[in-house]
Amino acid sequence: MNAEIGCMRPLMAILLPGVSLLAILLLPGKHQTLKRAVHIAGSLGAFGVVLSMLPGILDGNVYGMELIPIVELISIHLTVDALGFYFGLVLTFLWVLATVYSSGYIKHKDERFYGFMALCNSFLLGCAFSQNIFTYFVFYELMTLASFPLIIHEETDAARRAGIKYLKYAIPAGAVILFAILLHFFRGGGDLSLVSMGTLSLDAASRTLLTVVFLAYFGGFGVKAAIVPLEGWVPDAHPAAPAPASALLSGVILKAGAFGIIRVVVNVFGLDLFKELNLWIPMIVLASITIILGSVRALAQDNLKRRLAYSSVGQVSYILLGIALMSPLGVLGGIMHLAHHALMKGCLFFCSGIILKKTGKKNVSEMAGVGYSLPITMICFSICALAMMGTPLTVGFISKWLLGSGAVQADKPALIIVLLISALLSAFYYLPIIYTAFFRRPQEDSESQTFQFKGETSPAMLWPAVVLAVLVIVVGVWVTVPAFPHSLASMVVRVLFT
Amino acid sequence: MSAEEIAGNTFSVLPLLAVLIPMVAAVAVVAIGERNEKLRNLIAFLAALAALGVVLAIAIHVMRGALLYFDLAIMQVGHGISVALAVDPLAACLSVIAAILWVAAMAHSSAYMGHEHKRTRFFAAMMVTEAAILGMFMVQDFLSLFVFFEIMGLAAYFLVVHTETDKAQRAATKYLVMTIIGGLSLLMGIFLYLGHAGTVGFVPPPQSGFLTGPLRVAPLVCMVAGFGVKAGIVPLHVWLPDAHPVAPSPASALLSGIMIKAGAYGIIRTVTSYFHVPPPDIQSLGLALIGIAIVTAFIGMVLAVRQSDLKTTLAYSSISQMGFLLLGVGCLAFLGEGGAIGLGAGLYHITSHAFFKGCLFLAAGSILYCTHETNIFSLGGLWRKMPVTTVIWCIAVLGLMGIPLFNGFVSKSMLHHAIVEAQYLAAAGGPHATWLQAVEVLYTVIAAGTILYGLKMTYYVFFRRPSEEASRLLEKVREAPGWMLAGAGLLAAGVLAAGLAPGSVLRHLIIPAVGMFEGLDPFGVAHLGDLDIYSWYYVKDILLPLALGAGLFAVLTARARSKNREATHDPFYFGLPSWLSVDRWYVQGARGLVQACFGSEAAFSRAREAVFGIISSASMSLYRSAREASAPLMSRYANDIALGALFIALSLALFLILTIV
Repeated sequence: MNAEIGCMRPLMAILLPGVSLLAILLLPGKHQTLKRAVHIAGSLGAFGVVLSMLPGILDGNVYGMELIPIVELISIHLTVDALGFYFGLVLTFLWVLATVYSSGYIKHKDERFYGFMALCNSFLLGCAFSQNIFTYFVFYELMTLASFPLIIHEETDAARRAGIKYLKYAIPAGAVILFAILLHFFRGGGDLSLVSMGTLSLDAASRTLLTVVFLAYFGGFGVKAAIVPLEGWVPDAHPAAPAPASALLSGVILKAGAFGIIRVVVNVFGLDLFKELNLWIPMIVLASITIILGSVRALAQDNLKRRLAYSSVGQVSYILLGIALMSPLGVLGGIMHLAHHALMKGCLFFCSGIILKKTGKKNVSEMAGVGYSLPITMICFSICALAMMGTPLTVGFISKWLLGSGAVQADKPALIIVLLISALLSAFYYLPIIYTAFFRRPQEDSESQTFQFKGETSPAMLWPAVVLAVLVIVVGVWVTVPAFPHSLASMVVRVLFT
Repeated sequence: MSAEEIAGNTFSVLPLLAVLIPMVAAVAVVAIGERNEKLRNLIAFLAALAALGVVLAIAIHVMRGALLYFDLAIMQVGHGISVALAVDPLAACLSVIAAILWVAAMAHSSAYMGHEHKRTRFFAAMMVTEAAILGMFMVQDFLSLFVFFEIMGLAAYFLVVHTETDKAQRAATKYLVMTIIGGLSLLMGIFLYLGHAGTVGFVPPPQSGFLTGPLRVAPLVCMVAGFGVKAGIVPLHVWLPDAHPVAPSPASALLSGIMIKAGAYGIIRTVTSYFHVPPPDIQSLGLALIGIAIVTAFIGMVLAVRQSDLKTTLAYSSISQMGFLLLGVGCLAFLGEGGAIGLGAGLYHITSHAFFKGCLFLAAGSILYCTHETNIFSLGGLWRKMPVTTVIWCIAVLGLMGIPLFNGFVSKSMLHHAIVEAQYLAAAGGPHATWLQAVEVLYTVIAAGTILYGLKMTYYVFFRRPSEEASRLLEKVREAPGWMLAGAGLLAAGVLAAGLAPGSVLRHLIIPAVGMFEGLDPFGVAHLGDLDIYSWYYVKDILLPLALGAGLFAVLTARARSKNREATHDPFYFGLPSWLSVDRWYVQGARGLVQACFGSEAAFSRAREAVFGIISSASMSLYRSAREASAPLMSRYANDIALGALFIALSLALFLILTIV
């Protein structure tokens, strides 16, 4: 691993959305358009700063700076390695689209929403750029708190209940992670950093202790990563939140949990210790159960966003499954799926928001003929739904292929069956949506209203969905272009397996 | 497959062009839309023609021995694994057939689609399907094949669902579900193949110890099942008799003519790939394939005889004929290195069936277009009204029945030859011989049945004097438009040509394709060119089925006529018990699965609520009782004290854990 190059850019990226937050707060109330512009500019700035590190990262550089040394060995320290950069790029990119989208979507108390969105962006970037697990934890907890107002934004009873449920799950999870960190710090050798490939070792601690540390980390981060049986908040929070917030929840906030688990497996334990302690067994079993159960439960939902939320529950575990396979292709597939799923699910939630805004329809069974009134939206939706099923020429197929061949490489071909059952079930819950939208005629009485072409929604909401749908295909076809997930994920894998 | 693996062969943009031309045409078709229908139809037709030209140019190159490739360098999902186009003789052979069929179908549809809706979508879907199917043939690895295969399957959905009637929607949904399940099975097989052979190319290096024991054949079984869904193998055929008839007739011609061959092509590729790493039990696998094939052919034939709808009869006939084709592949696997005759017969039957079944569906489309009727017994005497269509139909149906001078005879004779060779091999080596004799008997029965339903369709539609009602209905019927006749006529000409000059088809198309497999005995391949199809040795074999089929037909029609002269009921119909229907079992199984999903969902939610309910009510009651107990003491600060106590307890617990572990 190359030495860290001192650099202000990680800090700048984190601060830029904060600056936009200040501007939103300080500007007088009448400048709505300006506020939206500043909000978008903040996320765009963060994305730009992250992107500016791309050439250096591809050269193998690591950027970073120590911010606040708290005590010896514990500090708030930012660093950007390939893995962190990858997550940062994905999340800032999705955030740009979500800010654009929300400027068209959010009509009520928009300042509050924008403000917390910008905060969340900063904190999540902090997670991505953490040099040690303590920094990760601090930003992670802040992000949990900052995302709460996004979930309850609509202020309906359902939204409030969902928000409280979110906190009920997330706060104890934070305590468990803190417990794991304390155990790790005081009994596991005292090195909390995330820069080497494994800081824990059997020399410093017993097998039981290490297993307990891992399970605590896994359970703590597993709440955000929506591992069954810790996923209870996910299907409530997604339908209650406004569409841009749901897109971010599924797209990157759930991934913050999965990313934490990746960091723990890769940087805290290291693959050798992970294998030595047989920790992959609970991880593979739980991930497989989550994948199947998430899909099965998605099948039974009629509310579109709830169905998408259960689909996320299953899909995020693809990432964990890939890591737990511990074969180069499996890890590559798992890491790449993080970005792939963000693209697909982001677009699907954007589209569900457009459908809700334009037709007022929440349930799949009511969507007959929506394909005619919102053709572009539904084509984007269809592309991403087909991608979720793993259709070739989309990112979904790349994920499925890599995970499948990763399972072969790890000599666990039985796990392919889990992937394929999940793909089949997702066909069963996504295809009826497309079919209803394009091939079912709306009911007679409502024909006059829905069937005529009313034009699409506002460009601010439509374009983010279109961009994501196009990327789902472009990234799925030209896989190895630099800056696409493959280039960064394979850098991580190359370091891991040499 | 990566470029370096296929180095040494000729780089060429022709394969790319063959895929790109229909793709671009699809875009153009959508762009023009309903504004200028003539131009749009013309563009689609010209694109099909141009694709045929490119494919012929490719074939000329490839048959001389050069493998053409174009590495698309997309979807690089592993080291050296990406989507690439590459054409070998087998690919060229199938591409030529597909491109010819497309020209015929596009010519036919430019007239036929006049009475359909959403024509732009139809033409675009036709073009995308052509691009996908040409791409699917022109590959040298299973990843590329899978990618194009899936695109083809999805694009064909729009062809099946086109009319959007309830029947079409049901058929299309069934088609889609089966396609997806088949695709997943195929993908599973490809993953296992990858683990087994270390590559997805058709030419794998020596095998590893990835799968052992009976699991060794798992990749083969998964892949054959995956392709088998498209190929309509019994019991995976259930979508086919629903989907082929409901599609617009030119699309039916393509679905039956070439799309099911895509499945067969995949099976051929799978089986031949294993020649390089033969599992020891490839012979019993071949025998299993022969068994499945003959059962498929038999069931297809039996069900075709009892249908009264013209297009449904043709669809069941397709299942039956696919059984024949697979019989050739099964013989190939069974015979091993002497299997040239099996593969040759299978390939010849692919061309035969593509031409005659494509032609029959196009002719059926003309009949539907002119009379708005496809029930065999509501038609009659059409030879007076539609003489040209009648001639075209008769040529194609004679091909189907396997009558000498028509192409079906050639391929069926070769198939019979392959079975006989398999018998020779088995006679030397044990118990399989009796099985293969049973196969030969069944083969004769099926040939007779094919003649029976061929005669049935032809007689009732074209030559029987129509009933009073029917003649009123058919009064104003005229000959089909020129475009339709041109399309069907092109294929009928192919039926005749391949029947009259089997030698040149064998030499120019079949032998290069068979000869490229290094595992096959070159002598056997060369021998294919020396087959004297019109010798007594082959012709005598058609006499028995002909006598049986024609005799049965004469008896049944005579009986029907003596009972009731103007009967519109089907004298060939016979009932079958409903438990025999595989389809019904599938539907019930699927229903059960969905219900199980919903049930487990509900049960899981309930259990979850119950557990969480117990936890929360327990903690609430604990909290409440603690509060009540302490109320007299410090009612105002109860909450804070409780929290503080909790914090201290947690810290203590943490401290204890830290010191103990």
